[in-house]
Amino acid sequence: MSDQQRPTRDHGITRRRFVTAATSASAILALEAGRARRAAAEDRFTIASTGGSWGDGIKSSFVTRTDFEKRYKTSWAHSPQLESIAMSKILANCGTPIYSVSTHGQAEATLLADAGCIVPYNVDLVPNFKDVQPALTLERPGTGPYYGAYVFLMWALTWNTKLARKPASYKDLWTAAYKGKVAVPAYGWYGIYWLHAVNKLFGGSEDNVTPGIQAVAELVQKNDAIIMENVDHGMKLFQREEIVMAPFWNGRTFSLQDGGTPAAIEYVDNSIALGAGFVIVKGTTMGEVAQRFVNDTLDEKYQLEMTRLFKYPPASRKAKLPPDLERVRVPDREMGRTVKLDWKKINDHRSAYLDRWNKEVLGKA
Amino acid sequence: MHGRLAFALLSPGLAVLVAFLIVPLAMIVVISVFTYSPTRIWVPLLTAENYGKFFHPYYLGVTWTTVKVGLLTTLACAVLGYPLAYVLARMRSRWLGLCLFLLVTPLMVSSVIRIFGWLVILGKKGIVNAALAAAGLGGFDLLHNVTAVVIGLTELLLPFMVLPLMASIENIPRAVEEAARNLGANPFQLFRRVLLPLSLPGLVSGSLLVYSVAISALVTPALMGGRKVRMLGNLVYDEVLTSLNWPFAASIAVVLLVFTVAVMVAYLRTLRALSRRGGMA
Repeated sequence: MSDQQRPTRDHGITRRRFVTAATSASAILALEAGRARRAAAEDRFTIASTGGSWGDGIKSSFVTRTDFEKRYKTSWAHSPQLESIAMSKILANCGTPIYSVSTHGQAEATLLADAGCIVPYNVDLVPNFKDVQPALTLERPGTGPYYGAYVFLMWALTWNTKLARKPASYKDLWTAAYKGKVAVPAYGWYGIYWLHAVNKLFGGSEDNVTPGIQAVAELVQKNDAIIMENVDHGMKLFQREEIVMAPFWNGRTFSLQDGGTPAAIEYVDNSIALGAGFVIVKGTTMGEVAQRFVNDTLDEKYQLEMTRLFKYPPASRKAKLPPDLERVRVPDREMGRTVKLDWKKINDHRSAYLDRWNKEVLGKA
Repeated sequence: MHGRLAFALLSPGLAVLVAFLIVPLAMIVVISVFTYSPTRIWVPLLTAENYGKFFHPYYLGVTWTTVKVGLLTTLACAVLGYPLAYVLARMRSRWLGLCLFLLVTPLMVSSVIRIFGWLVILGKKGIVNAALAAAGLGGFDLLHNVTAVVIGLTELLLPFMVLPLMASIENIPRAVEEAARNLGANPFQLFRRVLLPLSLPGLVSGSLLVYSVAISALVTPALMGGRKVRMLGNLVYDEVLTSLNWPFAASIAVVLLVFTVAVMVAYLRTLRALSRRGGMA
């Protein structure tokens, strides 16, 4: 290449021109992005939930079967993501929602209510609320209910009926004979709640997690407990018989049984009664539709569809389980063994206790 | 006129760069010195606590693990990738397209699926342990250690090393190799004195790509390393989504960024020094 052909490097761009170009262009972009966001926000009724099969179940149970679009004369969109991600986004966009409704457990719903980012149910539009089991509802004095579950998730103790003995307590996880064959949930998954359940079993409280942390640290360090990262990981560990006992979901245990794994669930003391329910995001432009949608999710006939799909009992007290699903019912006497948790305190300590979990449970593993 | 045209052509790219890289990075730096609030995520009260918290042996250990995994993965990709890149660069057969497709296949498969494949192979009841048990050697925990994470990342990131290396080797005329051989160079001398120095730009690009992606890995260490091999990406994930402590997560991200830049600068300076001495290029 001759010198004449070689492109010159002098494009007449000074440093000042460069900065001006970058600043002005990004300012235009920011303005357009803001306008686009306002236009995009809730042009349709938007449901935030976990994706995958759970998201498909929500669509088929509460959108397709309810004939949502026809009844409410509106289109809808599904925004699939982890519930914790949806919660973070709602907090970060508090008052200018990107979703109309979002599904959560009680702790996250409590946090969103404390942050003022969700609105209460209108009981006139949500008459099914009164049928939900009280343990699966949340209310605030003055403003009333803001959360009701559509299914009932019991976090108890799952065990391999062929390779382990029927457990009597979470303390069976510490049995030396099960060394390396037990698992506990990661703090970022449901470990945050299970830690508090175990903590209370060992004499602690929401404000004093030391007994629980010490117990779990011993379980991980001395009994080589595996940390389950998510439900799929836990299912695989049970299916491949790499573990014989772990705190786990009732519905998933029944799914393991259906898949041929010799598993059973024991509702031991301090099992955790968790719900999955929708909150209505503050600032939604589709408030009335959101209220009516929530009412549909609390209707026992639609809840039974979720139960058929995932084997979690319906949260409505009016629901009548068909004979083939009778086994998923949690007997009343077992409900009495569930632990009472202070969701607000759990939220207040979630960062500090994660720090302790990292240093004391994982740091010495 | 010429300057205005360049100005107009440059603006969209610059705007995107500023809006989606510089501004978010600046926000992360700002949030990292804010105070955590359980319900408001952060409040704009300045604090150095988020960085102070980092100087605990646990967090420093995670930082060291991150750097170690990044360096080992880069080394593994370089060692495994160089011969592969050489063969592909010199290949003239119709199979080249298929080979390139196979090379980039790991990038087309979901991380979770790819890793579950490794769990089937390396798990306690996996293929390797089954073979060891059949040979009477008992079972081993082949997962949940640094080696497992490096294996998983190497499989994923090998194309990032091979493709730039391949491009670099393709630019080396075959005549240069023939000349070296005619002058008596054995294969090792040919590699060390001719191929390696001339393909160094590709090796540098590949190494920087592999290292920077490896140290920010999230899914592979979570599933193959378990909680025993935690990396900074896993810490950030937990702090953002579990505890909602975005200020601490931001401070970890800043530390990760500083480490990435520091290692890259050190790497480039070392190579520049070597090339100035004439030892490598």
